[in-house]
Amino acid sequence: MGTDVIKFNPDIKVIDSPYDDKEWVAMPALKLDAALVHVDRANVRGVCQIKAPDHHMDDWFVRAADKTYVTCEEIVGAEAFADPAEARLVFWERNFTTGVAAVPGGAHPSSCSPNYGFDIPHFQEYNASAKEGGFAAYFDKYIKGSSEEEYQAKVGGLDAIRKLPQPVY
Amino acid sequence: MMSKPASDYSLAELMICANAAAYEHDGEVLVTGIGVLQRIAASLAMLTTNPGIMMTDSEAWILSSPNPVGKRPDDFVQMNENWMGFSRIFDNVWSGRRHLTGGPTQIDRFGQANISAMGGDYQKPKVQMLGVRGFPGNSICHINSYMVPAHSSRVFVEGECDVVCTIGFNPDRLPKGYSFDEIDLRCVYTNLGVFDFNGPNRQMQIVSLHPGVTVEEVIANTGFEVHVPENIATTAAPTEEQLAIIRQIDPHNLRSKQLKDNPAGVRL
Repeated sequence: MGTDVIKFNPDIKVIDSPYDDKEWVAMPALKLDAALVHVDRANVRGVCQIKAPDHHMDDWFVRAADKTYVTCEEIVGAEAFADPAEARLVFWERNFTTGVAAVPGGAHPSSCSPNYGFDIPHFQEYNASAKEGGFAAYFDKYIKGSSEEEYQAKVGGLDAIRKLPQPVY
Repeated sequence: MMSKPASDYSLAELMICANAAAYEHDGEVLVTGIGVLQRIAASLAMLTTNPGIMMTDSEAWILSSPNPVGKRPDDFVQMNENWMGFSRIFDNVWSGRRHLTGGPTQIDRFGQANISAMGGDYQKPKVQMLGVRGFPGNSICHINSYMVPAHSSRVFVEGECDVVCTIGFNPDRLPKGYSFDEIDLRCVYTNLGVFDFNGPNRQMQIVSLHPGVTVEEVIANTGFEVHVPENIATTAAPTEEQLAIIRQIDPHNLRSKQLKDNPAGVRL
């Protein structure tokens, strides 16, 4: 309202309220083809658990997407969620999960709290690549032709990822 | 509470105490201080004048007692009160029960603020900053104040902000059916003084000047006309009790690194 957000985003419309004399802002839903989500634990049916202090908007991404592909630190059995305290840390229903794969360390360079924190030096290197041609160099170094295992070896290995400290805010 | 004014305090500490006073009559609101000085100010207010304040751990929990800033000892126990993940912050925003003190890069004569981008045009700015983030919704939904560490005409710009991120008191931008009374822009705390937008026709005016600061200095460093009321107070000095609490909130003295050269509170 009254800001340049309206000016710079033609999809966001100012509309008359059907209920009073005010204007309101309307925006289209953000439709995702796919959500890629990393969680702590999941079972093969797609039940996913996040124990971090905050699951942020992961559940919103999942619900907005046509398909959701999940990687996790650990695949567990159905009994892992029997305790209500564990089941409360499941933030979407399994019919939203398209597929699950065990990829321990898979959140790197981001965090998978409480298992491991952010890799701040890695993010600094990535940020420093924000210039013309910079991403290509980063891509060639870490991603191009690399399996997940090879990528993790380049960033110090799974044990090093698991030791990344939790952030202090 | 005892209120013995301190004689020796830094400008940062003066600005913290001025900003803390913003929350005294807010009641039970979520207070968000974006920046070290703002966060210390919110914590100080919660521990003194307004225990109803709600603060977060900057991650996912509402606290019954604010966390000290910076690294905390290994045996530190955070006083969680309830879970409030990122998505639930918006419920507080929309309810209006929040007072935020941010630190925008530009503020214009309408009280509109910019944290998005500067120079060039929007597609290719000279300086890309944060983007508008939550500022548009914040400005229409709840109370907002601002802190400016270096008061200058680069911050208080002559024209409108390069990217207008908040609604302010610009009649040309007021949406249909709204009045200026629905916009709760409170105060701006700078290294020169305290300001609000309660001057004639919502003009920015001087509320108080920090010790040793002159009206002329404010005028020379503001890109638009500031209203100069007849009576201008001097910003109240921190009390010894406030300084003691500030030292507990900020044990690593991070406040001393927020203003260039950490100037004294009383300018000679």
